[in-house]
Amino acid sequence: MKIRCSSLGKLMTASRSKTEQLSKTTKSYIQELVLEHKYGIKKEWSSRYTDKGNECEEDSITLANEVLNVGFIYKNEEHFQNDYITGTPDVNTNEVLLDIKTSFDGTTFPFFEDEIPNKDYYYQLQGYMWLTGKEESLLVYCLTNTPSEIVEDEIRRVHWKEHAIEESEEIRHYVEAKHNFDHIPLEKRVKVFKIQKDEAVIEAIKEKIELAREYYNKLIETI
Amino acid sequence: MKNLFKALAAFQQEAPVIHKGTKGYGYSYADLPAIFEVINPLLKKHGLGFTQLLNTNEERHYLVTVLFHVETGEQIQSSTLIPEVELKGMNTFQSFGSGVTYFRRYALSSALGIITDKDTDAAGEQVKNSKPKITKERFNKALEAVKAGSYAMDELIEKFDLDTEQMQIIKKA
Repeated sequence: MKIRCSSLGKLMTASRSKTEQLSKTTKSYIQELVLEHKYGIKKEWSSRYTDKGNECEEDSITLANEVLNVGFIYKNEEHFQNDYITGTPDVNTNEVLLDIKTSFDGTTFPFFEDEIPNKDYYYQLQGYMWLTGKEESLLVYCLTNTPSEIVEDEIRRVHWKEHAIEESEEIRHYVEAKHNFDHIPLEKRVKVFKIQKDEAVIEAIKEKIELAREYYNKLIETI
Repeated sequence: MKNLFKALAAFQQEAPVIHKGTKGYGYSYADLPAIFEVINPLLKKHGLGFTQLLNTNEERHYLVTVLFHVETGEQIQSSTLIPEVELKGMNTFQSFGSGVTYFRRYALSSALGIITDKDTDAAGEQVKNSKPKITKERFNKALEAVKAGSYAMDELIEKFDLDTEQMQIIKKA
């Protein structure tokens, strides 16, 4: 059983009780893996946030490439794995390793944050550095315009929420404005958090995976 | 029903796709007056008529759309439940009125088999180029990477939708 880098955050969630080695979040995640591996029951999830992330990945890489002084960057398609984890970083050139997070709208973009807003991403990048041998990585938040089809979905959603049957120009303008960032300078629409590889964290991940495997094996035998 | 169906089929042959160009929820749709303007002369020509009745049954409101052949009295009808929805900024009666108008449009279009809105599926007809375009600045960075040996020219050509100018630069390089 190997853990995807994007799920390392769930694995590393600290348990509230000192007697429990694995947190509730970690156990739930392992239970999902057991069901997936044993019976093929897979929790598929997507949301408007992930939809925008997927659809805008290339736009975000382009934006990051124009703003950051990191040479030419492009989408990585190589999948990496070792004895513990697997993962596909967004960008992995000879010079730089980075993961792109496309903010859904201006309210979820970390304009003022000095520290990584979501610790899960810290572990995700530690995983990627472990897999690729890089000593440093960049977590890059990008604020790109939302694609029109997602904006139209949003307009429909807001109409529905407001119980409005006929189209409201007011709602349309409000939603369209909320998803267009052309008025913000490009360099302000990219926020970078630099993360150094930390061997102690990687050791902690290994230890947690060993514990998770024990739990996994116990579950898979009994279910 | 032979007369009704024959007349309806003939009507459908002549009825155009009715778009008013009204922008709404990401598509254009024809409202009731726009639909009437187009269909009334055609219905008359083919000896067809319709009426839309409001019925109430067990406190639920239904829109009954009846399409009939004038000469023979042959008819088909549909019944649509109008959900009770409270619209923002409207009282109960106004909300109900909006619902009736909304369902009249769709029930009538369905009964006549005509198209009165252009939904977002139409956008699916546009074939997206799966290769991303590359901006001038980024293209220059890519060329630098190629020169430095950290990126392959073949990959640049294969993975990006390059414009004519960019292709010419590559040929010269």
